[in-house]
Amino acid sequence: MSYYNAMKIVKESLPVQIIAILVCIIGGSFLNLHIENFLALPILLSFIPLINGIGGNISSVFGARLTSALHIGSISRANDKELKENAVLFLVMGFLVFSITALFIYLTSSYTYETVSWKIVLVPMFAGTALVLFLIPVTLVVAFLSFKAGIDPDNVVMPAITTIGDFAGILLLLLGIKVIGI
Amino acid sequence: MKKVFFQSFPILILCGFLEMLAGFTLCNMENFLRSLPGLIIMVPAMMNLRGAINGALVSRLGSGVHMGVINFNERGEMRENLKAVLLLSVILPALIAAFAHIFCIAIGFESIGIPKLIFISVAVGLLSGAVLSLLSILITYLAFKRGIDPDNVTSPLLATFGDVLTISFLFLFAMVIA
Repeated sequence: MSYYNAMKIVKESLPVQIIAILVCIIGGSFLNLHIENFLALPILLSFIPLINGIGGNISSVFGARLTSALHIGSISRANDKELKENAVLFLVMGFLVFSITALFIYLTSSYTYETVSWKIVLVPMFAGTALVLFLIPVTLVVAFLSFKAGIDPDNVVMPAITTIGDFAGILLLLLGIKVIGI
Repeated sequence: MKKVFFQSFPILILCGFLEMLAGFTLCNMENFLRSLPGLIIMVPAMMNLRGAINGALVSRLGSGVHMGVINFNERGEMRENLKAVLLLSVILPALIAAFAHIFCIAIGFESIGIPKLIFISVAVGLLSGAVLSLLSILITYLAFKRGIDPDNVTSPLLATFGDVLTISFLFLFAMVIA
């Protein structure tokens, strides 16, 4: 008798995945609504994988560390000092990664894309940092709740957080484009 | 704190630059996004999918190796895991295409139609799923051999490779259809 069974894995994964797909399709529909903005200035398209990817990475690394710490028992309360330090650290790292990559995209844009205003740098900086600011408390809540409910974080917490992140990332990107006035 | 920073930051920066590659490719898909209406709706879901299917594979492989139910010489357990990945890589992209079409029609947008959307999403899903699964096994093997915690390194790297592969194959198959 083998430990893993393909059909069992598929069956267990389907419900969460179908919800994730629906949420992402709604996110994609928002992109579709504003497709003219993106087609008028294709450099904006390059921010979609950047913001969603890095947002997902930061929250999943933070989430993975948090759930491991909860399992080991080194963190048990939400206002733990080490936890707060970690949250701030991940926020700072997010800001740095978004700033560096945005600056790089801007500096190389004259070779690869049409000439663009320097203000374009502010879009991923704003949207990305706001996303991490939003995702850290969300990750905290989801991780604590699932730990209390005894749900395996690998199968539920991470997909839930990355899906929430993808959706919020798209809305924040569109908001950033509007606020910064690109 | 310092340790967390030096463990995580290089990976995050590396992923940032890889995501820029994906972004650059998406940027060059401008014409396909124009000529294939409905394609953009699938983009976030297709990227999310790769992280979800292969992220779960990596964590199962990691746990499986730790518990000793998977070892790299015995193929049975590995085969079941890969079968699951490939099955999900067909079922879920087909659902994405169907939902994308329905949402397009519902909000009054053009769509290139279910058959073309399904062709693109399933081809992209299967190919990127297969390539990424091989990478997952390789990375788990290397991480385990060297005693690296997969949580901090392999998951973000694989999710990022997944985005790059998904967008690249999307470009390829959009070109085929267009």
